[in-house]
Order: sequence, then C-alpha cells, then structure tokens
Amino acid sequence: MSEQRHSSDKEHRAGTGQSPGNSYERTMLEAETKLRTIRAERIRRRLITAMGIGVLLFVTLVPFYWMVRTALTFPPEIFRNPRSILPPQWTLGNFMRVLGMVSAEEAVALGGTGQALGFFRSLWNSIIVTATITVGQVFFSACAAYAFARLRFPFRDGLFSLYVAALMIPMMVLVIPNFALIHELGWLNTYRGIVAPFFFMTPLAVFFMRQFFVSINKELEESAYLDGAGRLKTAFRIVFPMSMPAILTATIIVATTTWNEYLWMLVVGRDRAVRVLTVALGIFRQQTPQGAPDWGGLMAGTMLAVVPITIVFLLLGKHVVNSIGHTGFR
Amino acid sequence: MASQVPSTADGGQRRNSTGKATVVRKERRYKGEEVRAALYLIIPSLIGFTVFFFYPALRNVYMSLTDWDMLTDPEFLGVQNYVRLFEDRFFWNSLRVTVMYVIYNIPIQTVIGLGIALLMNQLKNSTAFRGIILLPWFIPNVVVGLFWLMLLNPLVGPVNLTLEALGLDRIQFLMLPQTALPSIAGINIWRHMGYVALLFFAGLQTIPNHLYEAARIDGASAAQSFGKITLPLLRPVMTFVVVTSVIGSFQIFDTVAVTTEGGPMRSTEVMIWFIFEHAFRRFNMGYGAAATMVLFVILVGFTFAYMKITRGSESHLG
Amino acid sequence: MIKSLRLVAVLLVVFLFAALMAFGGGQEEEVTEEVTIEYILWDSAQLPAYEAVAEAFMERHPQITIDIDQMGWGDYWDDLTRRLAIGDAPDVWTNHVAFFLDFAERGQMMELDDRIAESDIIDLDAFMPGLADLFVYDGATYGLPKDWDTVAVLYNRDHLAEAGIDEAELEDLTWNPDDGGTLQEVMARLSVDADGNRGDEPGFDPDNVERYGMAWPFDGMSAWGQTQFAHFAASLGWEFHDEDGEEFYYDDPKFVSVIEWMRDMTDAGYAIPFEDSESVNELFVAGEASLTTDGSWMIGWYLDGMEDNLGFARLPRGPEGRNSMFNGLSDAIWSGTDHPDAAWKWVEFLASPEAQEIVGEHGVVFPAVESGTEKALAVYEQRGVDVTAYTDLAFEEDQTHLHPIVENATDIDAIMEDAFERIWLAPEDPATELRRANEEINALF
Repeated sequence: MSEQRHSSDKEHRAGTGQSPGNSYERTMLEAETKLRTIRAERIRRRLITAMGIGVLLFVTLVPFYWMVRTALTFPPEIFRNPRSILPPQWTLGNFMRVLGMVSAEEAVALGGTGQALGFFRSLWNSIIVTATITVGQVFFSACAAYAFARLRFPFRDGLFSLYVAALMIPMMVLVIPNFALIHELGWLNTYRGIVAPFFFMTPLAVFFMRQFFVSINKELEESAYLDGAGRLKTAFRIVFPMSMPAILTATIIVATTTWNEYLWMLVVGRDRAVRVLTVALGIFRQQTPQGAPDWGGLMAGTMLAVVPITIVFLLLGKHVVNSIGHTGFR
Repeated sequence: MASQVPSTADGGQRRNSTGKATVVRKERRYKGEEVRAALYLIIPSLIGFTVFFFYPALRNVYMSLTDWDMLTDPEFLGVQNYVRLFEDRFFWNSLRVTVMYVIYNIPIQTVIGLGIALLMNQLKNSTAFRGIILLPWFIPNVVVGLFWLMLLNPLVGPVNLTLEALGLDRIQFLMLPQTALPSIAGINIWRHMGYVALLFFAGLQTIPNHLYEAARIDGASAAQSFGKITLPLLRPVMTFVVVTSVIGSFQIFDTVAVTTEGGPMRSTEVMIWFIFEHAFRRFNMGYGAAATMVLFVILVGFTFAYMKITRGSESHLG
Repeated sequence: MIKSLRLVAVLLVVFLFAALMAFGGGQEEEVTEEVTIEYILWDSAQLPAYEAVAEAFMERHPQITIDIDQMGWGDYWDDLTRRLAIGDAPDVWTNHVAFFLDFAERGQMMELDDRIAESDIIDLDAFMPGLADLFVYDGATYGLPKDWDTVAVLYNRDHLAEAGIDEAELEDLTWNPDDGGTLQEVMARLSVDADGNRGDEPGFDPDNVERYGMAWPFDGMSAWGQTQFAHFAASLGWEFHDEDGEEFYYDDPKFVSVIEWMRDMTDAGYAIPFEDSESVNELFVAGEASLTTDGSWMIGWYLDGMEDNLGFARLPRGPEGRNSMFNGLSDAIWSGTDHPDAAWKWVEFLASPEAQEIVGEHGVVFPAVESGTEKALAVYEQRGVDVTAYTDLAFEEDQTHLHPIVENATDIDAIMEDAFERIWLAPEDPATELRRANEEINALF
C-alpha cells in the first residue's frame, strides 16, 4: 500500500535525525495518521461499493416492481393512472385469467380477452425441454471441451476452430434448414424434435468450458496422470469436480437460454401439447385486435414464468458458493 | 475423423521402449490412449455438430445460390443474390445499423458487467444479490422488449413521466429515428449486464488470492492490483465475453421484432431483421440466405481478428 | 458426492433420452374415422363466439373435432406463411383480402364453387351485398363471406361535455382538406394545453398539449389506411388504383392534401404526433385524446375500457359525401388439407345463417349473413350502445368503398409505411415523398 511505503520513508528520515522533535511522539502521530488514512480508504471503498450496489438494485428492481404493479392492476386503469406508484385498482384477475381459472366471458369482464394462457401445460413443457437439453448439452460439451483443452489428437485445432466458427453462425441460418430436417424426420411438434439440435452440444458451451479448462492449473491433473490415472478418469474424477464453478455457470446459462428460447420453439413446437412457456406468452401478447398488448395479463404471465427459474437459481446458486470453497484453489 | 492408432510408414504399429505406440512419419506424437479418450469425449458433440450445425450450414449456402420462395422448387441463380445484395442500399443500411448497435452495446455492457462482477466479489457470499442482478436475464427477450415498450411510452410511460416531473422534455425513445437504436441498446444492456457480470465473476474466482496478498505486501494499490493482476488473468474470460457478446449483438432480433420492427425509418433495421423480412415476409429465402452468409463471413472475420490481436486463448496462470 | 452426482447426471441423460424416444410428445395419430380440423383466427375477442359455433357444429358432426387456435395479428400471418411453406398448414384459416391474391396466385386455397353449388345451407343472397365477390380469383371462388366492417369516429363523452360540445353536433361533421371543416373545429375545441387553453383560444401552445383532440390511429397503419385516411381520401373522390390494379394514385394531389392536412393537425397540436402515438388506442381509452377513428371490430374492446363514456359518430362528410372503407373476411381451406370434405363441412357451416347468428349474438362483429348482423345489432341495443354510426354507411348506397385487393400487397405496404414514416418524422415534404413512393409501387407491376 502507498501509505506503507510512505511511512517507511518517513521512519527512515526520522531515523537519520533530519527533523527535530520527540521521535516517539512523532512515531505515534504517524501511526495515527496511517490508521486514519487506512480507515478513510476503507470507508471510501465501502461507500462506493454501497452506492454501486444501491444504484444497481434500483435500476434492476424498479422495472420489476413496475411489472408487479401492472400485473396487479385492472387493465383499463394501467394507462389511465400512469403516475400512481401503487396499483390504481387492485385485482388478481390478471393472474386468474393467465392461469386459466376463469371462463372466456369472465376474462373479458376482468379486462382481458377470451384466450387462456395454458400456463401449467406450457410450464411442464418448458421444464421437460429445458432439463433435457441442459443435462445433455452441458455434459457432452464439457467432455468435448476437456478433450480440446487437454488432450492431443489429430485435427484437434482444426476441429475446434470449426466449432468456434459455428459459434458465429447466426441462428437464423440454422433455423430454416433444421426446421426442414425436423419436419422431414417427422419430429415436428414432438419433444425430441424440439430438443434434438441442442442436445449434444452448442459451440458456445464447448467454447466456454474449453476456455475455462485451458486456464486452470495443470499440476493436479499431471500429478494424477503420473499416479497412473487414465485420461478419462482424470477428466471425470479430478478436473470436472475442480471445475464445478464453470460447469455450474454453464448449466445456468444453458438452462436459462433454453428456458427463454422463443424462435425455435415457436417454429417447431406450436402444438398446445408441446408448447413451451415463452411461446405461450408470445402468443398471448397480441390479444387485442389492434395490436396493443394485454399488459396486465402479460405481466402476470411473465411473473409466473420467472418464478420457477428463480427458485432453481437460488438453489443452484448456493451450490456454486459451496463448491468454490471445496475446489483446490485458494 | 476418428483417429486411428498412428502407424508407421510400413503400415504396421511400432512400440517403443516405454510401450506406447508412436508415429514415425508425422512430426507430432499422438498417444494412443489420449486419442482414444478424446474420441469418446468428442463423438457425441460431433454427432450434434455435424447433423445440426454443419449440414444445415451447407444447405444454407446452397439456398443462397437459388431463388426460393418456400413454395415452389428452388431455381438456381449462381451469385445473383450476392450481386443484388451488394447493390441493395437497404442491406448496407442494415449493416451500418448493426455495427452501430454493437458499438452502442458492447463497450458499455462489458464495462458495466465487469464493474458489477467486482461488486459481486465484495459480496461473495450473498447469493441473493447475485440472483437479483441476474433477474432481468431470466425474462425472455420477447417479454423484456414489450415491457420496456410500456415503460418508455412517450405519453404515459414511467420513464417519461419521471423526466417530465424533473422538468425535462419527454423523449420518444423508440419512436424517433435518432433515439430508437440507442434505446434498443439500452434495453439489451439492462437485460444482459447481470449475465456478463456472472461470467466475469466466475473468472474472478479462478484468480488465486495469494497473488493479491503478494501484491499488497509489495505495496500495490487497488488500482494497480486491478490493472496488473485482475485484467491480465481475466483475459480468457474477457475474450470469451467480448467475442460472444459481439456475436450475440450482431444477431439481435427478438427485441427489435417486438418493439420497433426495424423502424422508425429503418433506424433499427438490423441485419437479422432485414433477413427475416426478406425470408419470411417477402418469400425471398434465397436472398435472405445470401445475407446470412455475408453476416457469417463478417462474424468469422471479427473473431479471428480479435483472437489474433489479443492472443486471448492463452492464460497466464499455468 | 461428486462421483454420484456424475452418475446421476449420466443416468438422467440416458433416461430422458429414452423417454423422449419412447414418448415423443405431441398429438396421437388419428383413429380412422375421426377427423380433427384445425382452424385458426387472430382476433381473440371473437374466440368465444367461434368456440360456440364449433360446439354447435360438433354436436351435428360427432366424428369431426374442431381445434381452434388463436394467434395475434403479426404472429398469425408469420405462422401461416411459414406453415404453408413447409406444407403443414392448418386445414382452415381466417383469410383477409390483403393477402388473398398472394395465396390465390400460389394455389394455396381450395376452390369452392362446385361445393357451394351443391350445398343446401349456403345462400349467396343472404350475404351483405358485395361480400361474396371479394374472394374470387380467375373466375373461381376461394372463400365465403364471414363478416364485414366499417369505420366510424369514437369520442369521449366526458371530454365533450367539458368542452361544451353537444353530442348532436357530431352527427353531421364535415371535412375538407383546406380548413378541415367542422371536424377540425371540434378537434381544436377539444385540445387543451398545459395552461388550460383550448385549441381555438389564443395562447394555445402546440408544444405543451395536455390533452389532444384527436388520436390518429397510427398503430398498424398500412398502405390502405383503413382506419386512418381512407375515408378522407375517398370523400374527395380519390381511388387507390386504376381498374387493373396495376397503376396507383398515391401521388394524386387529392391524396397528398389528405396527408398534408393530417400532418398539419399534429403540428397544430390538435392530434397526437406520430412519435407520441405508441399504443395509441390505449391512450385514447386513458383519456389522452378525445376523438379517434377505428373499425367496427374494435367496438367491444373500446366499450370494455370506457363503458358509458364512449360515443360513436359517423365519419365526416367530405366534398363528395361520406365514404368508409368496407372490408370483409372469409374462411379459406388449404389446398393441401388431408380432410377436404370435413374441412368443407366446417366452412359451409361457418357461412351458414345459423353459425353467423351465433357469432352475431356474441356482439363482437357484424356477420356477413344479414340475419347475423341483425342479431349483433340487437345485442348492442340491449347493452345500450348505438352503433348506427357504423351500420348506416353499410346499409346506404355509395357510402362505402371496398378494401383494395391487389397483388404485391406486402411490398406495397412496405413502401408506403416507409414513406409515411418519413413524412411524419423526417419530416419530408408529402408531395415529393408520395410521388417517389408511388413510382416505386408502379414499378412493381
């Protein structure tokens, strides 16, 4: 720290007797100043941190609050009383409509229109699709990533470049041909059709984990290898557990991306039997014939859609923290 | 692709004194066991890659050379679509808009994300904080776009009401050509900053604490620690973040699709929207495919250029 | 612990994959005699009505199940075109004139003439005049009329009362492109700025308007301006295009004057500017403006938001009288359907007086069969709502003009939307911009 250097300077000068006065008092004074400066720095840092956190929370949460407020407002009032911070006219009607708990006529009376969201079915579909894709993709991508990062084999770099190049393939490029392929296989509107293109890998997952594997310390692996463990064992028993933070991060990313995927799900999984939540919400949005969305219903639907994944994250999140403690890193 | 146990020039295997098969002809030495392990590890991803990435990509190239309206048979055109693209001022416009968008989006998003990650680091044990910051990212793009449409409503949206309450003029965010694109960028920054932060945060955890301690003992300031330790060691993560963010930004679609649909006055007509319009609304699949190929080339070029410039695939830890 | 996690993960993967392979999800294959017909529509307000129709139909035809799906306007057409491309289109879809010719040229709809001739239920005379001809291409019929709509002026009664305007004044509004007629007077009177000055009072500040007289329904404005400008232009005697539909007249001075006047109104502070018109019909309901123009299919929606506070008035009378755009929907059968007979039965029923009366009873739209419209009117009357502003024009001669049915509709839309944006926002000179757009459109043919 700069103060330390500074003070050692001062001590040095004091020791050569350049300044007059009681050296003991001087030392005490210097110590006090040093302490004050350190404290000041600490307070300043805490203040900046607190301010940063405050601003961040505000910017992130206020829109959510507004979402909640809108979800609880009787639809015609949403624009009529835009300034009121609390819902101008409380109602649980939006949630009831979204959960399909009311008939079409009742829905209209509650300020919405005739269609129900099919919430529970599409929630279940989202869970199935997301779980399958996440488990498959993360696992197989991690395997491939390890191979690229740590093993040497013919065409390794060429193949990896190919995978990375695929990263840059805009999704739109693949949607149509893949859709045609799924259709030709007769897998449209089935779970396997929806899941297939994402089940084995995405370039992103492989790239991300490979970058991570490359950056970790080789020592543990090499010692295990010297102890006679095979490559596969090294991978599964040592490297993967050590890489839990990255793997878990990858899991979260894949799960959330899949949960939020819209275009592909819309194209391949249109049937109510397999429709996922984003598609159901998207279809729900353009309720009124003229195009202005049913804000109340939409916000209620969104809130319901966010809840499951927030729970999952909170559970997984704890695991992340724990595994950081258990890795070989200090 | 399956790598065979490497053979010698005479076609047979040769084992040296340590019992490992070696290649005599090639320069590199591949260990059989390594290659086999690699095989098992890679095959599933290879299946997925070939069937769902490689083959469709090729098919798309073929489509770009045809005139196909999705209903009748494709008609071979050679490079006509590309010539037409070159002369299409709206295509160049979409390219310009997309680049502008990336410039608005990435630097701010990356800096904010890094800042948030540092904040997260101060609160390492607070999962709640991380969860909250990540919340926007859990919402589908479709809904985020619609939702901000309401918030940014010129007459009755809370943002403008606040501006007016502070005595400022209202801003017609998504309705004016000058402000629409920055607004879209802002929406996406709001949604992604937590995600970017999470990536940086994971990267920060891999930096061993003893390096910081050593630095402190040597008398380094916080800023110096940051510059000499954090940043360089974050390079692989930074590469990953920048490359994937830029690639992702180039492909922005959902938000535009639900808010501005390319308007006003094409100020938010990003490339994917241009392609979507031509492919799905004007039945011009071949033309759209050609545009996607151009986009692809751009992204490839960018990635290699970036990797070369920063040599970001290396880490400084090992 | 970690090791068992790995194991669990692997087992999970294997299990899920097996499950997917085994079950696959999605619909079961249909049993031989039972047939499911897929039907789609975009207006969610009409969903209850059509569900009731489907129930009535299914009672009569127990082996046929009608599966109705609703998607919003934008998604609806995207989805339909995609599905047609892949060869997996719905059996029957709600069709709109704007897309009709494109579908017809590509042979995507089933011809209905023979079946119509043989049908006992269909009576072509029972439909409102003009509707049956809308969906004819090259001499063949591809759709039966479903409903019709016109446009009228909507007003906020409280605002009128506040401004001291008698509702009777709105019964005979006049309009012309020079001074805007009584319509402009009313618009000015109803506009209030932040200081309380009305539009027709000195000191009115167009930059600081608190409440606008008019909300031009800019949301979703297409090349046809069905609820925005078609009536103004038509009341000047203007037509969209020539007889063949290959030469357009957007550069005609009459049309230019309409657009110029509309823009003058936003500049004057009497109408909500284009850039402020996000979710404009919500704004009207919320009271940000006192007047708007919209189609009869929206009646229910506005009523739900405003209830008694809503009034309807006929479109203003221009130099050549009143003239609303008149449109009708139909139901189209996919030419590639697996169940042509069942699909026809459904479409036949939809076009029957019985079905259309059910629709009319829900009071959401005006069905094409006259008896259906009568039912709808009765429902409105019961609700205490006077919709003659819409129906008067339809029942009298020469007060409506048809929605244009042309080729290249999508391209024309794109060109005009572009042109309008530049006129409102840049702002470009309407005459030059419209001339340029018109040339582009004509070049398409």
